[in-house]
Order: sequence, then C-alpha cells, then structure tokens
Amino acid sequence: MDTTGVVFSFPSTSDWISITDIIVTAGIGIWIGVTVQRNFAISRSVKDYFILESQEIREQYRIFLNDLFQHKSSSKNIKEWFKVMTLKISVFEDFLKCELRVNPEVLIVHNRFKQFLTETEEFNDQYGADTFKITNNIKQSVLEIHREYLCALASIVIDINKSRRQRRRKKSRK
Amino acid sequence: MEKAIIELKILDYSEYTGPRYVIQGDHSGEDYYHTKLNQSFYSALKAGKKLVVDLDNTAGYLSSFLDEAFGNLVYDFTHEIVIKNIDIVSNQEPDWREMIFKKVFPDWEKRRIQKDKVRITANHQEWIRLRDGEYKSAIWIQQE
Repeated sequence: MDTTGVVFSFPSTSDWISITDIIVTAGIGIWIGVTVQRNFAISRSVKDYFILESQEIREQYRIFLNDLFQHKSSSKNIKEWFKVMTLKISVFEDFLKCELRVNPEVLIVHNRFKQFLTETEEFNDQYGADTFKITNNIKQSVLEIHREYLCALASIVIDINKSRRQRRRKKSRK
Repeated sequence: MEKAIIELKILDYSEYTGPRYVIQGDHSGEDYYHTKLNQSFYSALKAGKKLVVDLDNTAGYLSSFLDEAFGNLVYDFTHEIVIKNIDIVSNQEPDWREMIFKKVFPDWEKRRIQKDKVRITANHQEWIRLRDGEYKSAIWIQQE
C-alpha cells in the first residue's frame, strides 16, 4: 500500500500564470484599499477643514450683526471689521476655488453689504460717535443681505461635499 | 506707448480715512479731494503722466469716502479725461476699484452733465476745474 502524502511538484506554466494572477489581483486590491482610503481620508479632511472655516466665518458674522443691532460697535470699528473680513473671505475663497473647484459667492455678498452700510447717511453722520445706532430702515436691508449671505454659505457646504479635490500637476524636473 | 506714472498712496494721507464730508469727521473724502487728489491729478495731467492711486494698507474705507473723493474728480475734469489719466490699485479690496470705475465715475458724470449741486462743508483753497476747455483755479463752490 502506497503511503499517500503531499508530493511537491514544480509548478507548471499554467500554475505560474494562476499564481501570478492571484498575487497581482490581491496586490491591486490591497493597493486600491490603501490608496483610495488614504486619498479619501485626505480629501475628507480637506473638505472638513473648509467646512469648518465657513462655519467660523458664519459665526463671526453672527457676532458682528449682534453687536450692530445692539448698538455696541462704532462706525470706525465696523469699517475696520469689514476690511479684515474682506481679506479673510478672499483668501478662503481663493483656496476653495483652487483646491476643490467650488465657485463661492460669499465675498460678492460681503462686499455688497460693506458698500451699502458704509454709504448710508446715518453711518457717515455718526462716524465720530462712540457707537453706531442703526435705524430700522437700514436694519431691514441688512437682514435681507444677511439672508443672501447665509444662502451663499450654505451653498458652499453643499458644493464642498459634492466636489472632488483638484489633482495637482507635478512640476517637470529640469 | 504707456504713459509714465505718478503714484499717490492714500496711506500717506491717512491710515484711518473717514466719512464723506468734512463736517462728519476727520480725513473725509471731501478733505482728501481738496487737499490732495485734485492737485495731484492736475499735476499728472500737466506732466503728461498717469496718476496711480494706491488704496492699500489703510485700515479700510467707507464707500462714501471713495465716492466723494473720486466722484469730485470726474465732476471737475470730466469722465473722459479722468479714465484716460488715472488708475487705481486696490489689491487688498479689489471691489473698491470696481466700484469706483463702474459706479462712482458714471454716476458723477451724470451729475456733472445735469449740473447737480455738489455739497461743500468746509472752506477750501482754490481747486482746479475744466471750464470752457481750459483748466482754471478758483473756489468754485462756497461752503454751505
């Protein structure tokens, strides 16, 4: 009676093809899993960063409007706040367009608000006062602009979540 | 051929620009026009150069400051002459440049043609205006 055991025989060509196929398939699967997941994680963290930044901008606006309606800010402070926010929103939007191909409209609304408020006679007449007392007429217009501003910010969050990260072209080495 | 330029920085006038009129506060658009911009623009014109006004590095603007300062320029020199001989640099807040060229200049040109009254709230020295094809210096409007 022959003892049966595992007899190792050298793989044939077709065996090698099958083995290679298994290794390559498994390798691709692992690579896809690692790379895609990694890219997804990076992409998600970039999106989360921009979403957080947009929330920060919204919060700064909320505080500003609160102070404005409660007559806590002077015309001078308001003027300076507008400039700081213009720079902040401008940088935020530039990076957003570059990284995620999103076309935000927050700056357009912000600039319209800035130009509107600082053009009013009330704002100019009270320029030297300790605080700016906003009138009802102006308040209504400000609320309308703020509504547009909130819509623009909400659109950004939606567009960010839908977007894909821009692939950067590698610079050719000379 | 590009004209040579004369640069004028609003920062050299004040880091903290003010409201529209002199009676409303310091460093107003009205004051800037009468103490700096009118004469600087005329000097550039005489020298055949372009005046480049730099809005950057101040603590911000009221739109009324820019409207009063640059609007008066169009009122005194005409829209056609102003846009050929001025440029505005505003890298930090590009919307100001757009506002001046697209809104302030055309609005004040309409006012000039309709001979709308311009408000003056302080005594100013003589300033230059284009009148009957010539540049003349006078106190064109009295303080109200």
